[in-house]
Parts: sequence; C-alpha cells; structure tokens
Amino acid sequence: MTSLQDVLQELVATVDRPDEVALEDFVGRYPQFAAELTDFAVEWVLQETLEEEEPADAADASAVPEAMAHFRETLRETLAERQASTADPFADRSPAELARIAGALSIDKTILAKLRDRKIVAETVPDTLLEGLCGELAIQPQVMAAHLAAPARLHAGVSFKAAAPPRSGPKETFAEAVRRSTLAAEDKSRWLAD
Amino acid sequence: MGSAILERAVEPLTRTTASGESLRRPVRIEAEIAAALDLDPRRIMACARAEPGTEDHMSEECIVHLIRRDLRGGSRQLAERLLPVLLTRCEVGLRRTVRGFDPAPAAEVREEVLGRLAVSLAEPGDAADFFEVRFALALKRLRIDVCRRQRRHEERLVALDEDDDSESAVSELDRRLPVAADQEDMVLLRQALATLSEEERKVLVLHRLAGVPMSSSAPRAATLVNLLGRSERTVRNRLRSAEAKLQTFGKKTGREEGT
Repeated sequence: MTSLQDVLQELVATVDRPDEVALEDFVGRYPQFAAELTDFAVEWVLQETLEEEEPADAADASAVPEAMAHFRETLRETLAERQASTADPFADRSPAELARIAGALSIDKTILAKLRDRKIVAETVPDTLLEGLCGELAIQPQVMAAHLAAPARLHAGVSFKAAAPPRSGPKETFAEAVRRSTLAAEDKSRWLAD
Repeated sequence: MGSAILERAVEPLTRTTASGESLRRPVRIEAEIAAALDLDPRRIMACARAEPGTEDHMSEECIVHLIRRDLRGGSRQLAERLLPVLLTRCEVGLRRTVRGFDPAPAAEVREEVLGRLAVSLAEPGDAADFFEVRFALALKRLRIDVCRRQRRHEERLVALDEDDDSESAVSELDRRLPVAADQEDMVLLRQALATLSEEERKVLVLHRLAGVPMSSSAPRAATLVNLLGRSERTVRNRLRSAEAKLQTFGKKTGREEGT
C-alpha cells in the first residue's frame, strides 16, 4: 500500500514548486491523500516564498544531542522487538548436540555457551568461527548477527529479589573468552592468532 | 576479526516509489559507497568531516548507507560516530531553510526534523532508502512535513487563546507578494501568516502563490473548491477576509505602497 511519505517524496522529487498542474496530477493519482497533499503544497510554497528570511542564530542550542537520544531509544526498542520476535538459533539444541558443534568448531562448550548467551562482543568473533557456526546451525549470517548484537542473556535462575531488576553485565571479547576457556594451549594460541 | 563476512557488497535498495518504481542510487553514489567500504573507520570519519568541495568530502547519501550498514551488521559503533556528523550538517542547513516561524518554534522544528531523521535511520526496514538516493530531497520532504505539522499545532494554540478577531495582527501580504524584498518584509510576512486562519492562509497561498484557480467546469480539476472541499462562496469569503486583513495591516503599520 502506498504510504503518504512516499507520495510526498515523489512530489518533492518531481516538481520544483507545487502548482495547479502538480496538485491536479497528484491529487488525481492519490485522492486518499488530497488533504495532506494540499497542506504540504501550501507549506512548501510558504517556505519558498520566505526564502530570504534571516538565518537562525548559529549560537542557538544544538538539537543534535536530543536527536541522538531518539536514535538510541529507537535502537533499544528495535532490539527488544527483534529479541521478542526472532527465534533463538540455539533453541531446541540438546547438550549433546551443542557439545558436538563445539567439537566441530574446535572450541569448548564454555565458549559456545557464551555465544549462545550473547556474552561475547560480536565484532571480535573471528569470521571463520561465524561462518562455521552459521553452517552448523543452518542459519543466515544476519540471524547470527542479530543474535550476538542483542544484550547478554540472563540465566533463568536469576531472581528479582534485589531492589532493581537484574541487568546483564558487560560482554567480553572473544580473545578473553578463549583465555578463560578450557581449550588446550595450542588451540588457544591458534584462536588468539586469528 | 570482525563481522565483515556478515555483509560485504553494496546492497541494493528495496523500497519502491509511490508510483511503483524501484529506488536506485545514482552511479556516483554507488561508486562512492564501494570505495568507502575499503576505508578504515578513522579514514571514514575524516572523510565525513571533510569540508564540502574538498576531494575527501563524503556525501550524505554515503554516510547514511554506512550508518545503516553498521546497524544491520549488528554493530553501532561507527553509526554512533557518523550520525552526529550527519545531523550537524543538516542542522546548519535547517537554520537557513526553516522559515516562517518565531525563534522558539523554529528551534522545535529543527529538533523534530533531526529527531525524525535519526529515528528513521535507526529503524529496520527500507523506509529510509530515499536518503541514500537523494538525501537533500528526502530531507526537504521531511522539513516541509514537520513545518506544516508545527504550523497546524500553533494554529490550534492560537485558536484556544484568541476569541477576539480585532486583536489579530494582520499583514500587508497583498503588496508584498509574490516576492518579499527584504528582511523587514520577511518579518512582516511571517507575522501575517501566523495570524491568518488556517483556511484563509491556504486559500491565499494556493490562489495567489501557487496559481490554483477558484473553480473549474472540469469536475476533477485542482481548484480551491475541490482541494478544500468548500463551496465557491465560502472560498471567496475566505479570500476576501484574508485580503481585508492585509489592507487593515497596511494602514495600521503605516507602511503604504511603495514605502
């Protein structure tokens, strides 16, 4: 379904300034937006007519910090929605299967569990491991990216007895996870060299 | 190391225009993005901050792509650094292009435009695709849309506060149109526009500035009667009322024709 914003965008991209011809064309094609198109055209003509007005004082407070706050809030909301709607790529994997996957990828179960629980910074995970993980779990890279980018998962046993709800702690890098793992020294060295 | 495997190529846009055409970036933008993907973050930031006209200057379309790409890849580090640069560029432009408001509401408009731009880039989906095609036009659409909403908001406030038409300021719009000549004219014009009723302003602007006729024998023509859904008599009354205010204002301010 055509959105109002797409229609307004097409109007702006099509004409230099709205006039009778443009309005007739657009209102004819998108009669459901006739009122909005008319409003928009009026405002556009006003803005063009007032073109010589003195610019606002550059010393006025910047609106950039406020916009960045909106940006971060939207990202938080998007992430929460994604978490709620995206299937967990590790869901329904038995401990035995996770152990097999860990073995196939030459990592230990601790590292795999941290990847499952999103406790490792996504950008620090080697490409080869990501590729292997996506292959073993039969998922697209974007699904794994979304999974790893989400906040770290809390254990189900964590209770809410504290004054404030529990929050996930900071994530560790892949290198830190390797150093803390039970991998053999030579395997650690190989991953750390990647 | 990193999430480079997650996305490598310059992804095509998926949005279609209102008339059903697929959006495509201009060739020069595609080339600029492809080149930018080989740059390290420090170099990208340097190009984003480079002055317009310099060789390194990065286009807004390219910056938007890099922000959205970073977010799609599951990161936000580069996006967090690039977005303030983009918003600052926009804010500089908006200080010139948001017109017809007093300083406080003009600042609100700028804040709203930047906020909506930031949110649209943060949201998943392809609604912000046009910002990667012709950023200036996408921002123009956003600016005008926010301006019209702000003006309607102000009108509602005025309608609540005012019940005495005689106290309404009026303008000398009639002798200033179609092109106001100097700063003083602009201030007068802005004052006038703020005090005409919504319908008076629409009739005046559409008829006098956009050349929209009063009525037509063609049933689907873009006329004031059709666009506003009013009778011709009502529309003529609105126009007459607006013009009466113009004349009154000319007398009140003592700014006669030619002064």
